Amino acid sequence: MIQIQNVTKTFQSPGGGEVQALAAVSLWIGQGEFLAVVGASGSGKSTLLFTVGGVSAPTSGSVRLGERFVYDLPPSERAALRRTDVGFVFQTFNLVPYLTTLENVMLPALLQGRSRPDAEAAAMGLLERLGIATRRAHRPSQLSVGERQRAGIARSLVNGPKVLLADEPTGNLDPVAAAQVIDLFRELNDEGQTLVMVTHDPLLAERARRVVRLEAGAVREDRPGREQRRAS
Amino acid sequence: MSGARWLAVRELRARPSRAALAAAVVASATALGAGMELLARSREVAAGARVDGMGAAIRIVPPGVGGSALARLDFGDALLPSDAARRVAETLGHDLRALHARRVVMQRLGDRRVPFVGEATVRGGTVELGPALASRLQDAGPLQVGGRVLEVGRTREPAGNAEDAAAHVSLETAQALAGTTGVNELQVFLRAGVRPAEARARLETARLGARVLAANRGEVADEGIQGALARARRLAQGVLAVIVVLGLAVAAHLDAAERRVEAATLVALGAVPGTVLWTLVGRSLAIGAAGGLLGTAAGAALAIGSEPALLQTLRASWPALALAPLVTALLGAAAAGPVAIAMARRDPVAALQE
Repeated sequence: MIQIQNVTKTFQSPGGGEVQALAAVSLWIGQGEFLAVVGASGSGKSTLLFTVGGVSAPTSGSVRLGERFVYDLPPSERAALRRTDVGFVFQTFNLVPYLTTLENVMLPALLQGRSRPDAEAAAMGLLERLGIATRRAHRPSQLSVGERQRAGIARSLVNGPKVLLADEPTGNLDPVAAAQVIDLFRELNDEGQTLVMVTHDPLLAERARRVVRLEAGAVREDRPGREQRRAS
Repeated sequence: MSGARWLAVRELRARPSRAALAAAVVASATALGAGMELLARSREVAAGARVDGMGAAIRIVPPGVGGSALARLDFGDALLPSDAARRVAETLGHDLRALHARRVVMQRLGDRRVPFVGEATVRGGTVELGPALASRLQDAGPLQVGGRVLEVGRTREPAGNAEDAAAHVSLETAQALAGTTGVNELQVFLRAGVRPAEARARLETARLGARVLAANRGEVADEGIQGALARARRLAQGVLAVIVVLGLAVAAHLDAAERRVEAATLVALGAVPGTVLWTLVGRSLAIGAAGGLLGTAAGAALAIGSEPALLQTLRASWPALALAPLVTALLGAAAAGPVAIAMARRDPVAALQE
């Protein structure tokens, strides 16, 4: 489903030198997997996530999503791929502050060109499923952090993406809300949703079915999650 | 792009205070510009009437008429080509304010030959006398000339030239006295701010089959005053346009800085750069249009309040007034454009990792 082949990414540092964020990373992520990417701060976890999601082009190497090489596509087609095949969940939720919860969830559907009634129906369905339908008319500032992240997850799902990419989705949540988010991810994964989650929390990572540890931009470990190991 | 429009409308509705502040800046500048323009136009009409009183800016006469004959208003039998008036109008276009055709014919009155000037402004069957001629005739009653009796009307103000010794009749009367139709002089009145020398040069190259002459009416002073007025208006409009652009550019810059993460999120959600760009440009365009509309209305109201006579010339000014909101909308788009392009091109990853 996702094939990452020899991906390197270097940045120009403000001091003038180069920083290597990813060093020849190769990974295969199958359909329906729940992969947690762990590592210390600056190990390249988020860079890998945004590279997979078609937001940040690698310096070298390739990323294939389904049958398409993401960075061989022209920018407009890559944007279309992000709308249809990829859903992003962010640590700071990144909800649009002046939109209501419902409008935030509708946003990717409207960007995709779906009609407003269709987008609204899809968004309402997800809000109901995630238990925040009663908060549909509230602005993000009026929601609890847990509700904001649920709205963020609903937004990432509204176009039925092939893969959900979550960047530290529990980083700003209290333990209870964090556990609820991971439960939700497990539930989605059980239904066949492919998930890649970046986290610095090793305990949460163990609830994924597969754990990859990055160190200095390179894959140092690739193993099943603890719950997966117990199950098998 | 429909998603972008939807976002822009939602943003304006949800956070109206900052947009209203920016629109108020635009409205203030536009009100000032619209008010100044209306008052300037009103002054222009008044000044134009005064300048017209001094005579035409340009005279067009048949080719054979020399300087001394012209000074005596003695055109002989020479006539202008029949299409001269149409071609003058075509050549000068919008710069032409009025074009008066005249037919001057010499008639014997007592022991002297007197120029009878046929003009469209004189009522048929009457004659208006130049002050020198009126003084010579000394209330002699109706004039008999060429078998016609003409009622003597008003005596004209002194002009300081041969017109003072002329009799002014209707165009038809002069043509009847001459026994032929046609005209032998066209008087050209220009819009304020149009330089007579330039207009003359254009008429000379138009090959009218006629002489194009500068009228003796202190046109250098007129050109100077009108030119200075036009330059002052252009300068004021330029300064106001700069204020509008700066105000909207500052608003767009603040907006872009605040919405950095939002723009990056939109990119991650699959928005094309045009959508990100439109969120800023569309907002600025709407603010520019709204500010321009409010400002034009306010400026017009204030100008009419200070000079009620403006209502009479408002109809002629409405195209310029209608243009103002369009111009401010375009200035809004132009002001936000560079900021929006920079925002759309920015690598979103840094903002997403904040």
